[in-house]
Amino acid sequence: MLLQPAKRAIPATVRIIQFRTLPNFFINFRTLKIDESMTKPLAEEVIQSNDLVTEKEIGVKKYKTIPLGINPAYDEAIKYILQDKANKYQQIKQIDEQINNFSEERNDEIIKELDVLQKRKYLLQVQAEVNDPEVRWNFKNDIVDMSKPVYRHLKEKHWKSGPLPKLMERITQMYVVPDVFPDLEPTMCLEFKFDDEFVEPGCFQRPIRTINPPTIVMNSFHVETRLYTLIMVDPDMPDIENKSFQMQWHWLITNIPISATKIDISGGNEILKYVPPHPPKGTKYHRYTLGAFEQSNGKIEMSKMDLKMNVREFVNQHNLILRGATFFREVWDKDVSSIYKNQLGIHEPIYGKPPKIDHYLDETGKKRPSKFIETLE
Amino acid sequence: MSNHFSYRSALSTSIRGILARTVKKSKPKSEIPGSQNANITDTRYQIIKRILYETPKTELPKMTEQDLERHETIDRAWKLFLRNQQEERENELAAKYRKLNEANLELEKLGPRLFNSAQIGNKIMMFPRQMKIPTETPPLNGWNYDYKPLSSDPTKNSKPLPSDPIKDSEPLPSNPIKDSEPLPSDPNKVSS
Repeated sequence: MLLQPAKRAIPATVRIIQFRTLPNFFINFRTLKIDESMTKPLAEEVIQSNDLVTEKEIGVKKYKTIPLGINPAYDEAIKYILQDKANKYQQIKQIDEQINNFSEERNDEIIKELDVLQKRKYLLQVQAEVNDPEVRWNFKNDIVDMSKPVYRHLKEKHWKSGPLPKLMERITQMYVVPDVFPDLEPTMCLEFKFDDEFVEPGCFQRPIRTINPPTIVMNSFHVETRLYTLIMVDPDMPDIENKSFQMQWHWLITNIPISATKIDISGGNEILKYVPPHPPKGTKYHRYTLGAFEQSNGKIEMSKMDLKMNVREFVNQHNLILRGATFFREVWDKDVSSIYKNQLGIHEPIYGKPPKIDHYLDETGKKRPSKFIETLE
Repeated sequence: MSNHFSYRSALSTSIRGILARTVKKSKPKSEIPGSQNANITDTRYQIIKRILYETPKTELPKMTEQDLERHETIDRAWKLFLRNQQEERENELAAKYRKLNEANLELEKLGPRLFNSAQIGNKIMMFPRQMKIPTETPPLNGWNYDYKPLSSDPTKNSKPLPSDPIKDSEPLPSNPIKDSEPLPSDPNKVSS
């Protein structure tokens, strides 16, 4: 089943958010007792608040606080939320003091206890801010500051509920997992853009569009900077001698510093320059897979890459951990011929099935008399 | 005189069975529930159908973005309130369990006899003194709306419990709830 290429791809985060609010609306509304004041926007409201008229600065939207004094339930809600926020910050302060009281040494026990405290602190930081209507509005409108734990939590939660299952479904359906990677448990959202449009994983792309390398976005959720390796691989190149398929490397960049606040792939060492995808004529569609690996051994020093190496061998050699993956598909096009001519400079192979031998015809093509047909094996 | 069950019928049992099965006994239409010719006085099915198919759909009120935000905030605040309540209860229970555990450990050090009798527990079913016994009529003094539970501060001296009517033969004071301060345990509830 072919997936339709995204024609006007809306950024996945925004599109899915628009649906997130609706179920909430339908589920909770039945229990809510509707006050008249809540159904119609009062005339006084419009006059009192110039907030209904959203004054947008050019390009930048900002949250307008809802005025108090109109809906008593809302006033109480805000009061309670702010009170709870203060309580949570108090608790965070206590935890900070506890952390400071720990001695300087770092044996196993202390590391465990510190870990527990850090997790509790993160949870409290999220809980303090997650009910704030301003924060929720910001997240809904994609104004996200990844240095704050709330936004990291909200983004991760949203990714895990929407885009991630879709990605995993497509990866397993297209057998990317056993063919390219042995296993995939993503902790990072790897996305790519062609011509400034996000591409859904697994979609078909036109070869002209992919001549230039895609813009990669690595959305990780950890605060500290870690080094990552990016690869792009085509597992579906035909291998005639073995009557099977072989893997072809398209791109390799190592030592990319990535954190929650740094999401582009600048700062890495490009070991293999980007090779545009070129599915040869006669083969079925090719899956061009992108993989993001965390370098567990720190920096990788390599000058050249052995192109005959398998992905698994490469991963084992450098102790890489797969953190994120995605892929797109392509099929032969007339433009692929021009890619072979201009970009690659090699002879374009055209593949086809071997000719069928008809045992009932002789060499000239005439029907062989039956008494001369040997028993076929 | 003659036993009617002793004579042999002209038809054998098997043939009578076959005949009985071929003759389809159908209920008269007025007995089939739900049909249009059903018993008119039994309107249950009609009522059900009317409720299911003919009541107008309740339209959800249309909310603006601001309304929706208000609604969500209120909803979150309420859920947060309930969550905090639940957490308080859980922490209380956890603290009680911890103290119980510690007390048992201390008791173990004191000696085997007391410890073992504490672990066995009471096989005799006993009811708390303040438990509400089902009565035929409501209480004369009505519901105490101003009741406050006993504060957890141990230094504050608690009021004496109301006299046990079974033990003492004295009659109860005229208005024990209104005159005295709030009781240490809630007389309106079944105490756990």
